[in-house]
Amino acid sequence: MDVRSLEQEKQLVERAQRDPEAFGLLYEQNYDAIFNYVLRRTGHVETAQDIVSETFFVALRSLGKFKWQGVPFSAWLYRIAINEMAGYFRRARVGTVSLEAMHEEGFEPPSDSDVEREALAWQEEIDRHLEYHAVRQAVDALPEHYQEVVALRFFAGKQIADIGVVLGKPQGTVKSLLHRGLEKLRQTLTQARYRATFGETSTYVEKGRGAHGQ
Amino acid sequence: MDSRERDAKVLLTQLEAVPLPHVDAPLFKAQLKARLLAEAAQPARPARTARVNRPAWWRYAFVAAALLVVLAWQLMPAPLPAFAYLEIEINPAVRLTLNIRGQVIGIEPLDETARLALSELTLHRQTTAQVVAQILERLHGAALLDAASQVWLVISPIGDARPEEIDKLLATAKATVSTHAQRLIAHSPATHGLIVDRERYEVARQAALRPSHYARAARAGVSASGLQGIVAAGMRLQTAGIIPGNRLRELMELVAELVEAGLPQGEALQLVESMLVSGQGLQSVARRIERAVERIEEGQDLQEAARELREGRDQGNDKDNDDDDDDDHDEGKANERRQDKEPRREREPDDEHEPDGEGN
Repeated sequence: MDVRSLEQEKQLVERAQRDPEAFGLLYEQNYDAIFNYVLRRTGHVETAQDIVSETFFVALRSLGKFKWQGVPFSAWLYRIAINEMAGYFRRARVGTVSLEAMHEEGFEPPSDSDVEREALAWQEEIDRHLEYHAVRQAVDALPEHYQEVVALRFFAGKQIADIGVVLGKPQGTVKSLLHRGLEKLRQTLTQARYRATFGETSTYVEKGRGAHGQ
Repeated sequence: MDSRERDAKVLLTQLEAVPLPHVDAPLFKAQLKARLLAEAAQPARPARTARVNRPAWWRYAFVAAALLVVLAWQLMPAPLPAFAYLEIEINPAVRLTLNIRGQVIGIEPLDETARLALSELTLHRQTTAQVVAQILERLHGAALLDAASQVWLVISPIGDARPEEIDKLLATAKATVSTHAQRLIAHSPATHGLIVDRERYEVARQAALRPSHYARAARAGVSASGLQGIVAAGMRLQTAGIIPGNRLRELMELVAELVEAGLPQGEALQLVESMLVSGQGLQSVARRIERAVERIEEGQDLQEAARELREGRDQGNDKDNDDDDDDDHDEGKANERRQDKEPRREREPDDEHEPDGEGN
């Protein structure tokens, strides 16, 4: 984003802090990127809808406290979305993600039947992206500190500098996290491919030691 | 480069080539936006105060009141986001912003007459039909609507509006114009409806073009960049003193006429501009193009006709072409000619949509 666009965005954010209508413009500008990032991270339309709803509600409620720091507004939204996803995945790990629990947490799945039908239709479309699902599962299997760097790089198409801004990390750190994360991802994907080819019971053996691990 | 680095590079390339899903869920997007704006419109919540001991009945009263509020909230329709612009040009012009239910959520008079004529109307949150009816009544009262009036309705979708919803809006607006005009002046004025994609609409808006100015060009299939090209050419010609100000409509129509005859839009604009730059007045160029189009309709080759216009060879065929070349400032005559052309288009079938179906 160039300096002029940043300045325009700053003015819009300041306006949105006073005028609710302006928040609608910020929403329009950022919805697509945030929604698709969350969707690609979760692979599930309704889950993404819940997380994105919560992301924008948190942003709306916290907008009064938002202080412009010369970085795109979207970086802040990505950060909120990442926090919301972390909460979601944490709940998923302890097996407590039920609709009721999500209601208690403030999640409100869209009840309108048209919206539900729309979500189902998109879910079918997403389920056809088999290659993407394999990559997403491999990213999910990475240690947590690599996940967001790799996901922002490939699911949001962010460059190293932008990832640094979103995660609040120096570029050098992002670079090395990405490098190591990719190495882990390569191993995971190779293992997954190996399993798919030779069966679930086969053991993964690093390249160079022989295909069957002897 | 060791094998690990090489593998990492290969993986990078492979990952970047993986097709990622891209979801555009317009219903959910619109629903979430409505919920957000509804929340944003609420007054800020007061900070929690210290606990106060209240009598037991107070709790029941509080629960009952809360239930009533929740019930009332659920019954109250959430504010809907902007869905489309409807621009109405009769003599004054006004722009309405509509939500998906066709309710007016924004009104912008586009000229001083509209500002004066519509200043006392309260149109907010009314349906398109109600608003169009009120506007017509007010214009009739101000003697701005009569049998000779022409009505232009332009709809431009704002978000992810479905084509059938936009069609319905346009049909409602047209039907209302027809019904109410019939009641007010015992005559249905010529009503031109047009659906214009956002890009073209914004180009027209930025150039302060009225629907009647660019509708013909849009219907002829001139794209947003084509409209921009015409506006830019108009500015160049005006700055150079070749055409007087406020003549973009004529320029649009000349280009549209050639595009309708089959010339690509870039070529048509270039031809019109070069004819004007060569020192011929706007009216002279208009007459020559009109005759060229007639010749094309009679069977002359399109490119040959264009070549003749470019090289001025067509002028020898027309005896009266120099009669009033210098009267370009006589807007009355020019406008009369333009008006004369309208009935020809009126006889066309319901040509309200752009040929390429854009804007939906």
